[in-house]
Amino acid sequence: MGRQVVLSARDLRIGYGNKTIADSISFELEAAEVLCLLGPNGSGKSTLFKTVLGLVPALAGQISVLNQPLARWSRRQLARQMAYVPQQSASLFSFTALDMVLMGRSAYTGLFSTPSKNDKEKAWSCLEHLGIEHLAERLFPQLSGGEQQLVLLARALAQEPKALILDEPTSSLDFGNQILLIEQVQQLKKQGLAIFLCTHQPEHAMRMADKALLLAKGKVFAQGAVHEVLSINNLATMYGLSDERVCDYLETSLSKFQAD
Amino acid sequence: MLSRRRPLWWFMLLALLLLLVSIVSLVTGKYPLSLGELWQSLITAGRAETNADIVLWNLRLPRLLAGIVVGASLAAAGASYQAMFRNPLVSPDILGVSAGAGLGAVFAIFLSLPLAAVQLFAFVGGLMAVALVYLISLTSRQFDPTLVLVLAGVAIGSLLGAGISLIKILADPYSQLATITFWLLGGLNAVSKSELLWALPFMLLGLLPLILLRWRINLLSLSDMEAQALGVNTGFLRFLLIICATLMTAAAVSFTGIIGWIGLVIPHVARLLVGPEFSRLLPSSLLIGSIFLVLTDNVARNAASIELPLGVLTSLIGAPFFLYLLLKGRSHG
Repeated sequence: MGRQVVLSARDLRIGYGNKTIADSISFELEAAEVLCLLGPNGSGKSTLFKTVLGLVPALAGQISVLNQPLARWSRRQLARQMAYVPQQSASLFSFTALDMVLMGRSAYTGLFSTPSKNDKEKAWSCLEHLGIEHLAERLFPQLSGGEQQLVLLARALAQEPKALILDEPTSSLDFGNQILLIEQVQQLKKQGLAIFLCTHQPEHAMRMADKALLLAKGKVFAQGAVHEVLSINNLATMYGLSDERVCDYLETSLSKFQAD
Repeated sequence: MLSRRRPLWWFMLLALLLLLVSIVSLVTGKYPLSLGELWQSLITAGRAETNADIVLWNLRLPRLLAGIVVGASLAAAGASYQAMFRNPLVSPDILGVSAGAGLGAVFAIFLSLPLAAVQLFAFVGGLMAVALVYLISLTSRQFDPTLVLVLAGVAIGSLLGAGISLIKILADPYSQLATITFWLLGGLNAVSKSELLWALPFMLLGLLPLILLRWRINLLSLSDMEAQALGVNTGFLRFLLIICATLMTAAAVSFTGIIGWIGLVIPHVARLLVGPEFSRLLPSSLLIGSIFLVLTDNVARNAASIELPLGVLTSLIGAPFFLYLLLKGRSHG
């Protein structure tokens, strides 16, 4: 299988107006690859996502999607290549889960049309794919955090994208749902999706990601293969802690569990 | 069982209800008609020019039609504002659209301008009010935007109300003031066929894009970031919808005066029946808005020996109902 670069950035500077948040960001993301973004609060993770999605203009540098500059994509065409899964959806209205997933088809429906039978079948198969077809008629705001996250993931899959962008997908989930979601991400990667996500938990990054990009103090602190980049030393420096404290924490949090 | 999964049943039931309310509205009044007379007059198209024909064709039918289109317009505008601003608490009244349109119309009456100008002034006034309120909510970063939208609407509405009062002071007390005051109370009693025919195209013009975009409007209920990532040009879509909903409101206000609460309460009722999905919400809002206004107008005409102002009645029903919704906590519908 040929290597296909789905998403790439070169010398990217991100921020708002004349306020730079981070500079000199470069990366490449291929099909069937997971890139994990880590960094302290306020390091610019969300801004980077918004910039990559074309919602905030890049201050300098270039972003390419499937080797085409981002600016050349129409919003509609881009939505067929790249889907975004927010941490949570803020809709005040009680749409059903199926209604939510159907909205993932908007890049394929005409401005004046309603979803076709084909769209409904696609939405349904995305629910089935994630094993949540039983949620279809439930009201989205009444679902648990984990169920909502899966519905939003199904909506992103309904876009039939080549790349998925997930904003802290595990942060609002309980332990069991975190494991479920991590497994889903691994499944989707196997199916050939390029996945760009961020997390605050290094152990989740270790499980899901092939590559990692550490963002801190307005620049790329380290990047490369995940087990090289996520060293104790890098984590300690990035979060302003001593090596011993990070090492201690990661070791004890695992060694305290006992297997029967 | 009727549920949001069976919207078609709801539509049929509501359409039937509207038909029933319409018939009641055509036969009752100071000069009651029998169903036979009604039928006779309808099939002869009023050519016999009997008393029944005159009452029906010159008074009751225009008034009924006005009630149907104004109720539908205000309810549809309210449902659109609520969806596009992601806020179940907004309506043409709360966003200041009604007051803006009112000020525009009162100003035109003050200048003794013809009806076309009253409509134009109402539209411009309403549009300026909603634009101002929306801009303030976008600019303010200190508070929750949902809250700012409502509060800014209240403040702007009050400011425009002051403008209306000022014009009333300046108006000629013997001719204009009476017209303005009567008009501000809101009602269908002064509606003529020609006024209705003037306003109708504008309402339809505003409604048509809402019908065409009925599914896409749903996406504006998500955060802008989500909607854009789903491939939607939110800025353009919201702009278009503001124009349409404001046009409908202004067209209604310009010939019936300010009839409050319909735009806020009716979409809530419709959401309780069929859910928030707009391609289902729009037809039910249109129908319920019509039913409500025709029904209320019947009460206004027939409950007392003098005619009660319609705007007063809708407030008397709408405000307590809204408080009930707030207390019951079902405003998310």
